[in-house]
Amino acid sequence: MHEFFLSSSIARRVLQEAKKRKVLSLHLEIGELTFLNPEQVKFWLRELFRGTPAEKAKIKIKKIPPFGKCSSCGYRGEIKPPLESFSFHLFSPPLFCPKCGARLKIERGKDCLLRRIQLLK
Amino acid sequence: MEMKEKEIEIILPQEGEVLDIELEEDFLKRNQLLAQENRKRLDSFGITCIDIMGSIGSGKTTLLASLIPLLKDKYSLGILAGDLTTTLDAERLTREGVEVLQINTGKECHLDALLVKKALSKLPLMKLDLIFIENVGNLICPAEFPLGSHKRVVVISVTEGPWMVLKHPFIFQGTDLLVINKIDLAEPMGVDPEVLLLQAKKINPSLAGIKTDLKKGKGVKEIIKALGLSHA
Repeated sequence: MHEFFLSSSIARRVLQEAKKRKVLSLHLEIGELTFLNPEQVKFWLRELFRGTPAEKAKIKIKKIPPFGKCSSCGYRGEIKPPLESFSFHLFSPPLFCPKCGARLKIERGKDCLLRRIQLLK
Repeated sequence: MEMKEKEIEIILPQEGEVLDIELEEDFLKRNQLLAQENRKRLDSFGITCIDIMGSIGSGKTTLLASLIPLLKDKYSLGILAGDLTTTLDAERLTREGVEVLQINTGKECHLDALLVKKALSKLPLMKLDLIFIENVGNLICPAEFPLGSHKRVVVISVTEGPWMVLKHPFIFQGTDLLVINKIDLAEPMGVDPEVLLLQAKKINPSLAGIKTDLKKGKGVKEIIKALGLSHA
C-alpha cells in the first residue's frame, strides 16, 4: 500500500550509507502482516536506484511470517492464518493463542527491516 | 511464499574488497517511535488523545460535531482534522467554538505520526486536556500508522453495505470502540448492524460497539461513556 513512500526512505538510507561506493546488494525483511507487497518494493527500489551507485544492486527480500507470544500461557510460535491459500490481506490473522485463547502479542511479521547492505570498497 | 531466502550469491571482484554493513533498521518502526514520542508529549501535558478513523462518509465529522457541544464545557478541547485537500471539516468544526487545526495530507491516504507531531507543536497544549484526531476517510491505511493516541475509534455506517467489516479486518484489531452509524437506514439497506458488530468482535473481542444515528444525536452519550469521558 505504501511501497513508494517506504522504498524512498530505504533508497535514501542505502545511498547515504554507500557514499558513492557501488552497492552490490541489499537485504530486506518484510513481515507478512504489513501492507507491503515485496514485488512492488523491489520495483520502486529499482526505479529509485536508476542512475545511482546502487543501480545494479541485488535486492533480496525475505518474507517474515507472523510470530506471536501469549502473555497468559507463554506460548510462542508462528501465527497461522485460518486459510493459508488466502493472500495476506484477505485473512484476519487470529490474535488469540491457539493453546489458551488469550490475546497474542505480535513479535514479528509487522516489520520492514533493512538487515544489511554490501558495498564495493 | 515464492521468495524463500537463498544464500546470497554475488559475483565479487576480490575477497576483502566488499564491505558488509549491518544496518538492522526497521523502516516501519520510525512511525511507531514517533507515535510513542507523541504519546509521551501528550502524557506530559495530561492530555487524552482519541483517534477517529473510519470509511469515507461514515460520519466521522458528524460524530465530532455531536460530541463537541456535550464536551466543550467539561474539557478544554482540541481537534486535528485530517483531510487530503480541503478545510471543509475544520470550518464545520470551528463553528462549534473549539480549537481546530487542519492537516492536509495532499495525496496521502492516512495521517502519520510525523504529521501529528508537527500539528501538536501548533496547538496550545498547555491549555488543552482532550484532543480528537479525525483521520483521513479510509479503512485500510490508518491501521498501519499509529499516531500516539490513547484510544482508537472506528466509525462505519450501514450504507457501506454488509461486507466492510469482513473486508477490512486489520483496522478493527487495534481499535477500542466501533461506532456503527446510520442505523435508521439499516432496514432499507438490508444490513443488520448486529451482524457487523459480531463480525468485528470476532476479529477483536475486546472491542466495544455502539449503534448510532448521529444525525439525530442517537448514541452520542453512550459513546462518551465508552470513551471513559463524561459530559456536562
